[in-house]
Amino acid sequence: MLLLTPAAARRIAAAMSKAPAADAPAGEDELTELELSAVAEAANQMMAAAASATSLVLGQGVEIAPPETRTFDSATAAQEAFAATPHAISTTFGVGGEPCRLVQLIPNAFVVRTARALAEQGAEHVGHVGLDGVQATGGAQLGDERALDDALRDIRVRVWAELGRTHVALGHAPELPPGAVLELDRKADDPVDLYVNGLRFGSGQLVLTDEGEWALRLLEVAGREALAESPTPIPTPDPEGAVA
Amino acid sequence: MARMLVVDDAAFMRKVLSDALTAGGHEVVGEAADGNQAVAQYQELRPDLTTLDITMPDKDGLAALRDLIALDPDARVIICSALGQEAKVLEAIKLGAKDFVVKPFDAERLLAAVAKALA
Repeated sequence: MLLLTPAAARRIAAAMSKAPAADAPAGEDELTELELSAVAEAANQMMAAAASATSLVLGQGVEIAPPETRTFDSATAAQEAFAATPHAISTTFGVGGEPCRLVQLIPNAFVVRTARALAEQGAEHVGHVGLDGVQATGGAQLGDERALDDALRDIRVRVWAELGRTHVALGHAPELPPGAVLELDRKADDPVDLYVNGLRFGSGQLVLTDEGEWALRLLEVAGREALAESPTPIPTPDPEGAVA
Repeated sequence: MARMLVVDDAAFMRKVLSDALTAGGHEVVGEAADGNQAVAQYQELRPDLTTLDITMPDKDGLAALRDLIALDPDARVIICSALGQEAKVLEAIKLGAKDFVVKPFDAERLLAAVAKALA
């Protein structure tokens, strides 16, 4: 989502038409169809540039859809227009002194597929280096990409399994005596959820290892569909980021 | 002067393309906003040259290009798209496009591609 004030949209439309910014009408009138279309075309060219860059990194084609322009008169209306995602990246920038925001909504499926594409690309690089015989002959660019892949692979993430949830009033929590029983929202034989860095990643079945330790057998990895069915929506880590 | 069909889902881009082509001495005989309209307009107008966007709703530009070349193997089509990925350019040229102009472009680049395709 590229969020613009009407004045910023008007300036972008003027810039697309190669008109000097001073020629852009300063009024608060509604944007014309042609102005909206010019903003959509600017967004289309930005997305195409982003797709080309992503395509270079992933080593595969990236498709884009035609942009869609909508007018919102409140933040709530904008927020309700898009489905919540577990992650979002928000960047603010200025167009002619007007505040604008670029928000990327990131579903789990995107994280999983991007990670897979990077891993596959990493595997290809290893093969390439092997053929050359000498690691350095791959060239600086190849080396940089490998370094990036390796750096991503080495990032440590927190992984935990969740048995269930319940809600307790803040005032009631400190009064809970030892021996109190809290009922959770899951049956004993329900699958438990697997979380990676706060993101529900999948679900599985608790099993006991031969050494008497708990382990999790993965039953499913969450994609977009699984998230939509998730009984407890995962709060976005940065609430600001999800606001349209 | 040649007869042109301009295809782009953004009304703004259709205007930019039409203005540039008209300024270059050509006549824009039709405009279309998606691939289906493009094919219908092409059959009706039989333009000398068609500019075609790729990212469009319903039928995209590459699918439309396939149809246009099937209808008329001599169709002169220039792709005008922001999608400059190598795979897209190659696919378009393989399908029979005469040139590929990546947005944002200036009028000179467009008119040079048009002149080359008409030669």
